Amino acid sequence: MSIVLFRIDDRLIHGQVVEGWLNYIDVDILLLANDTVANDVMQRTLMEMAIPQEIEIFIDSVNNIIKVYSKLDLKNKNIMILVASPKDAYRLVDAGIYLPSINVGGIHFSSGKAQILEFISVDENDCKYFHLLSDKGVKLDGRPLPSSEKIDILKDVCRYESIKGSEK
Amino acid sequence: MLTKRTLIRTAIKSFFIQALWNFEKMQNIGMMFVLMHPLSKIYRGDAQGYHNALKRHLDFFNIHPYMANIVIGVVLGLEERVSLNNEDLEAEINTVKSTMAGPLSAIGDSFFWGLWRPVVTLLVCLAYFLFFNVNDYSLAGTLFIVFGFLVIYNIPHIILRFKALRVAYRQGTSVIVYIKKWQDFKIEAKLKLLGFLLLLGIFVIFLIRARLTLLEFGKLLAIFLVVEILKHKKASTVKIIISVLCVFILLAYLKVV
Amino acid sequence: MITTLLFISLLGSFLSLDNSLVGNIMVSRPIVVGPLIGLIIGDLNLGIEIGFLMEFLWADLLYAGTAIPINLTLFTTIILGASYILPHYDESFTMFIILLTIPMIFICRQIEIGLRLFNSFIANKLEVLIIRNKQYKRVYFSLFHGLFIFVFVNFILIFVCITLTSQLAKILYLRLDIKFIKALSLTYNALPIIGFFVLLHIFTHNFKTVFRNLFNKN
Repeated sequence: MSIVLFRIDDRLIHGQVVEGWLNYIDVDILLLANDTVANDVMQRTLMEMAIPQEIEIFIDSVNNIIKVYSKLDLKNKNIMILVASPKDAYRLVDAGIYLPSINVGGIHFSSGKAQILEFISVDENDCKYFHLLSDKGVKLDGRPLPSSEKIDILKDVCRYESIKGSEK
Repeated sequence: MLTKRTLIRTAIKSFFIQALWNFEKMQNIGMMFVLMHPLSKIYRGDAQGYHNALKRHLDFFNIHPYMANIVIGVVLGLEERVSLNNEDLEAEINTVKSTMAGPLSAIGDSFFWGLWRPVVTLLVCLAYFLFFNVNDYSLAGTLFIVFGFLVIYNIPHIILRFKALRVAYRQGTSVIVYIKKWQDFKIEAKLKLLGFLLLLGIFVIFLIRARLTLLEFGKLLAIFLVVEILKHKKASTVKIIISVLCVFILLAYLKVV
Repeated sequence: MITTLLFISLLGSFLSLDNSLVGNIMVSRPIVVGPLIGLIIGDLNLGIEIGFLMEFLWADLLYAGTAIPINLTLFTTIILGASYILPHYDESFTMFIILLTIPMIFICRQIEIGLRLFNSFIANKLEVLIIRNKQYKRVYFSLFHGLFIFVFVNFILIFVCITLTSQLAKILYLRLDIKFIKALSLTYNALPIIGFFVLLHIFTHNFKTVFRNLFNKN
């Protein structure tokens, strides 16, 4: 049993995940931990449709995914975990779902956030959890697609904080 | 109620949805551009409503361009309800836009760009090998490749763009039932099989026409092995080309080839 | 010659719009661009060959969201344009031009990313105009503006890259070792095989489960 990919992406399932990553790595089980999607039938149906049929998918709230993870018989299975925010990622890591490196695939721009990379925009809350993750010994590997070059997010997060700090 | 003409005009404008694509809000301006005309019909005589509606659609949005019309149709249906009944659906419109976009893009990417395009390319390639003399390049052959590819490739997605807008506008979010039905047909697996067979066909034609000697065949197998190993390790095409070149340089200086 | 070259650059830059900005009807794919430019430069043979090769070699390239890949339209146009300037080629020479174009195409990609960052600037300005001043018609101007800049920059890029590649190739190729040339020619012959494997991996990923699903009645 092994986690092959742990990805933070606030659009959850879209082209980059299905065409980019699922074609690149072999995944048997996809765990999608998100509290809002878990309660929305339309969204769940759409996401289940978008995933190739040969992959088993569990969509549930973060707490339930932690339970599912501990109960599943995961022998010889490759698992991919998908969350929307650094906060959810931290909750999973805190509950013992550990991986040496987490892929940060995209957090899109919205008001109150600052764009630190082309595909990543963060606010103070995100920064806090990125630092907590890093304190747990997790490497933050920022790239939208497997073929893109790896970028260590933490440096850019720190740069963002120094800009914010000087503004104050 | 939007007329058929308005919908067709919207569908034509939707070809421009990716123009001014930017890293911050991606297709926001494109979305507004597409929605301008139908919204002006929906909010006729209600300048403030029109303004609010356009403002709403200047937010982040990104979707596969072929699937965009599904979301646009649903959004237009909701906007019409806002205009007619004065309902406050702002939150719902935003949720529809943000939640449908991701999965629909995934379907569009993996079907149209991941499978349909390579299959059509192979189909055109195989037809070209069968019907034209490959050693004598002709104008007819050139035009056959260009227009054969464009016509076969474009028919499904243009039908999808025009039809999806109408269906989604009338039926709202229940439009996803149609997509689900379509998926039960297992079209992706069938296309994968078709693509595999086409590829095999081209390979067989090559083997028959090339009339390789045993030595040449051995060399071919060697290259096959090298590329397969590299491809299995998920190397990118540029890396594979450079590696193959390096292997050949090495062999050339060792006087093997 | 210079008019043809300008025409090729213009055609290439207009067709590359389709890749990511307008329409997506795939006139920007090498399989269309290659034969068309082959027609213009009067070399159908090379046009079709490069068109098919580029199409197959990069068939799994993905244009998804924030990940901007290399631009195949520019790639094909530059290779064919450079071959047009130096028409006395053989296989090894074409391969050499492809090799020289690869680094340039990655620079072009960085410039395209820059253009999209500039698009944010135009989009934000437009947003303010619409929200504050209700100048809705400005959107036509801004779209045209963005597209024009894109075509213009690509036009310059293609023209410069063709000139640069052809001149570099002319100088360097004569100084190459005969064995290196032999290796180049062999690599060119191996390109279809690489393309074959790129496609094979598209169709055979998760082969077993996909076909089990296909023939499973439920």
